[in-house]
Amino acid sequence: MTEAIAITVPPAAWPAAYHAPVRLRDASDEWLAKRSARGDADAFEQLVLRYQDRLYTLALRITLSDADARDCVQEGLISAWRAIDRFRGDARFSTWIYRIVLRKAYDALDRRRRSADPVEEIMAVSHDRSSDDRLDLIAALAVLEPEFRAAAVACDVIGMSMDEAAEALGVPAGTVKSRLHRARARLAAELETNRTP
Amino acid sequence: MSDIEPEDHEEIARRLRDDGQAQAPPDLAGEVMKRVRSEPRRSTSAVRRPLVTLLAASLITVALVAGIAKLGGGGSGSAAGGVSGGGGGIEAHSSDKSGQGQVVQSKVLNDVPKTALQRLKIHGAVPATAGNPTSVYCPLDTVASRFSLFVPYDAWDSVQAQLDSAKRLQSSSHRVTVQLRRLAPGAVWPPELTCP
Repeated sequence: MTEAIAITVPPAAWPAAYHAPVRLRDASDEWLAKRSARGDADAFEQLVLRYQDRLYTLALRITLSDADARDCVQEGLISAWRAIDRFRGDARFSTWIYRIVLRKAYDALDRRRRSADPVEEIMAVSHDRSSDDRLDLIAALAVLEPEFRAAAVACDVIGMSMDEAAEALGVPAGTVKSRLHRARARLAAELETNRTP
Repeated sequence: MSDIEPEDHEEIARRLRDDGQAQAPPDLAGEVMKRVRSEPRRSTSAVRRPLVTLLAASLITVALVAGIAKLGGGGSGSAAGGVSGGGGGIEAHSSDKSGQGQVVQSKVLNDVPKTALQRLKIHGAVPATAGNPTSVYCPLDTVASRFSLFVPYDAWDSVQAQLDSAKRLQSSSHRVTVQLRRLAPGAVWPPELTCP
């Protein structure tokens, strides 16, 4: 039980009042995933709490829709719960869960493309601090093609390494690098255009 | 489009990092966990346990079937003194290694008088004796009750008729089960056949 847990105090030294939530909070992702695979919903809840903001950000910035992002994260986490015994730990848990939610986000984009939902609707971004610059940036993101947007969001917003983004996005690292470069260039151009009266 | 300055890249990356963050709706985790707890997944070990049991049961069944097949195919004790030379042979239990690929037909006869095996006549065969090293000879005073008899292709009907006749006519109380195995045309019973 203790081999993967990130606790500096040995179990024998734990105080009597030591309780499970503290242990779960300190545990590594991989340890929590193992516990979840054994049916421990509390361990999985810890992962949900730990990743919900990042997953929501990822889905929101790619789908550009609050409702879609919410659905993606919910469905992604439920899928992860159902499939977590297939998570073998040879990749990071974060990469695994990002990949699941990214797939959901791409599916949402495909569905929307097929149903031709109006783009204006998806610009109603909520739960954000709003400022003009911020809205400009988010509006500029919407101009990018989804693949380029995904590279920028994965690397710059979420902070994935190039390799992790490549694994999560399912493309070679070189492709991520190229897409990221082009995405930044396009964003810079868009922001510059918006700044010009 | 891609000829912006490196510092512009840095600036865009910084702005994405600072302004791109969003917070999940406050009720999102609660809703997810409500669904998670409503469909508790069985632990891996709980899923695997029945599979392991099933696998073990399958292996035992296979082993039993294989064991029975081997008993039926190889006899269980000794073979009756019978026929050898170019003809058929009564196989001992341990000699299952030979001739299997040459068997084209198989049949089990129950309640065959044991002495009928000794009296069996097969075309072209030389009656077996204990002193003949090339013959297949197993003493009939063993307790074995199952025998395999490899029969030359052409002698199949004759052997069956002899054993059926013995079943009807003889009043021997020591009856055994004989599995007849018909050799392929031209197949010769391997000489390395041994008795238990």
